[in-house]
Amino acid sequence: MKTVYLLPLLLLLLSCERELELYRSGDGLNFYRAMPGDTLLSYSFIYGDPDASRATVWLEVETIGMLSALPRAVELEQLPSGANDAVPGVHYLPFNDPAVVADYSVPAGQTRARLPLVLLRDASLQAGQVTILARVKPTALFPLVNPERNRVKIVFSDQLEKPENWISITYVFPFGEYGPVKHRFMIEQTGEKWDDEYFSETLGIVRDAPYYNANYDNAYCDYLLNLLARLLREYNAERQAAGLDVLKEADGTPVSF
Amino acid sequence: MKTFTLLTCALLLVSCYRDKGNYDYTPVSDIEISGLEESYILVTGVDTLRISPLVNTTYPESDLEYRWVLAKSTNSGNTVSDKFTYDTIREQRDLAFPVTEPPGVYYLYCRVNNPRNGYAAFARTTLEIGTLYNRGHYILKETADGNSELDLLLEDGRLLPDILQSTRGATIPGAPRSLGMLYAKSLVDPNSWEKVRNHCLGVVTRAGQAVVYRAFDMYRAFDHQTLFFDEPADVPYKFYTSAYSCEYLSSAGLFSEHNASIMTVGNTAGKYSYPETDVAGGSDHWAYSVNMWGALYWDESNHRLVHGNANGMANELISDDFPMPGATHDCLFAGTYGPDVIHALFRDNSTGEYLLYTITIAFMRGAPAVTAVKSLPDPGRWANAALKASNETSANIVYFVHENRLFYYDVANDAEHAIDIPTLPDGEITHVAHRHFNFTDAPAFDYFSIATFANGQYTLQAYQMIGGIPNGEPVLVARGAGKVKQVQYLAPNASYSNFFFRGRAYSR
Repeated sequence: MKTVYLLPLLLLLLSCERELELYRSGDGLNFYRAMPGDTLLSYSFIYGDPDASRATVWLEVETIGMLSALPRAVELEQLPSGANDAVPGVHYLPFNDPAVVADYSVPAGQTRARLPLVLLRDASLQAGQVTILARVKPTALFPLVNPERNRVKIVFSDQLEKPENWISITYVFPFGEYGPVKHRFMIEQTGEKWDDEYFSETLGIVRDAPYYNANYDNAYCDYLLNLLARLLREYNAERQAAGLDVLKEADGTPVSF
Repeated sequence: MKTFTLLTCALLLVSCYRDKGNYDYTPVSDIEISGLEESYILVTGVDTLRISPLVNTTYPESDLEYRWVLAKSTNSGNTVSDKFTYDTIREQRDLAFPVTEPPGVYYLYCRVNNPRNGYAAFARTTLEIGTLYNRGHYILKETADGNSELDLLLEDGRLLPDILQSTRGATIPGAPRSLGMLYAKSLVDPNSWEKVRNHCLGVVTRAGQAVVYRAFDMYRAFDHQTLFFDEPADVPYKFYTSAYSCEYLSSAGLFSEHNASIMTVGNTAGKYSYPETDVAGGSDHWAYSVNMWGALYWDESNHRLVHGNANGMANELISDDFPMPGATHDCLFAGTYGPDVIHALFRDNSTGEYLLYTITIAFMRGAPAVTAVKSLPDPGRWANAALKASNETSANIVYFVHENRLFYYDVANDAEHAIDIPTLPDGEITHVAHRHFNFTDAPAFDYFSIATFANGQYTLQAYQMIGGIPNGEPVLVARGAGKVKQVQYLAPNASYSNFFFRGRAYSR
């Protein structure tokens, strides 16, 4: 009888030594975000080649789960954004267009891939911006869905766009409220693009806390602010001498620094 | 039977919890380390740091291990950051460490350990490692060919002559105008290309040169062409340190590293932007007020008094109670007395009247206000003397030199008195000043400083004072080639990056 009692106990102990199975969460795909705020991409044809009819922006994705020995196709789909949705074939090449569909894959043995999004320079973009709300479509290869990171918004136009790094953190960013007329004035007067790259790489101003990087130099920002204010005073003086009003936005707000 | 079986199993399990611990504890002795100063100021390549720590413990000496670890801030320069690299420099009780480290601020840890039980204790001190150029009395002088050069009088009395010629290969064109100490001046380190803050010297000459040298290696961080983002078109007057910033005064106005429109986050590359206000203009007539955390100066272009506050913002001084000097006035002098009073002397060219303005700053960081204007019916000798200097702390007097004789003007009693210094060498008096520095973490001094020039050589002497009058034998003497213009003291302490120091009372 004693053996009968001890045997189950031994069996229970032995069961603890059973080799664990390899954990497999399953495969999925996210948009890669270098910074938490990288949920929005903006582009304007106005900064590029004036004769260009299309432009490519790159959407970076990263996998969840194990590596694959084979390339894995990626499917994206457009969702309604509620803000002037771009029209496939008019404003961008559809995600399943034969010209790009072959590039929509994660290469074998890789966790990340850059997917081309080809924007088309339709004349309507001069009137305003359009939006693509893109989502990673769950497929048999990537069945997992992470709703927090499986979508990205692309806003583009053929007019000046407010850079994402144009922030309202006044103790870092001294250039005030955004306005397209003001933005164009800054570009024309300084010869700089005043786009996201300029803010980040030259001025050191970024959209995420602490809102500046190693390139930031408050003295240089202060210099540019004072320079622009002086140039605006001179510009307005010339306009007023010619009988024109001071520089204003479309809604009548005077441009100021 | 089932109950019996479970009970047996439970008893077996309970037996596993039997306490086999050893509670026969032995008290661990403490280790107390003393004998380390709070900080050490050392010259690289020259000094050897020797420390014999006192260790109070009941452990036998044979059971103790010693380790000295040097922690270097990863932020190069004079400031201590919170990121360090560590290096063991000695594993013996007594430290004899020949200092060869690059200039900077370090922490030195002494660790005493008993390997038998692993008990250890630490003590920490700060090392401020510099070069010979880090500390001392800088002498701005005019060379025989009319240019500007620096000598350095060290604490031990040695004189390092012609520093610019020996380190940079050339003097600065133009006769000397002013010298200012720039504590924690922003600049780009030429080796790491990082934005750092180092103590610097700012030299201005009559030829329009404005040059900033990093003190510890005489790196020429800026000249007049590189000091701004734009091409300069100004006449430089003076560099100085105020509470928040290293300032630069010129005919274009007051420039500040601290930008009031943007919070000072991150480091700047040290170039100046624009004056913080549209109030342009300046001159050599300048006085710093501790209470104001800024300076008051005469704008000789627009004939007005201007005050620059702690944020480097310049504003015209106006008064409801007194007429302010204007277009017909010339400023003859401005000087500080105590933390809250500035004297400024004017001549009204339309009437020939001499007016002594008293400007008071009633509270810390307060705005200045004219509190008295005294007409001087007899301007005496002092008003038009070429050399004038306030006693800034202990006596309400202004030193001046008339026909190569030293006098003082008693401001309160409107009287002039000669000062005889028997030990003053013959020669042209080229410099008088009150030089003072009084902080607990640096050698304090309170000197009357005077220099004479004869046969191409200067003699600079500093005296202790009684009631503002130089007394006794000189406590500092330096002799060298050239003609002394100004003397400024540089202290290397890292805490001088702190605005609590930078705005305080020391001669500028």
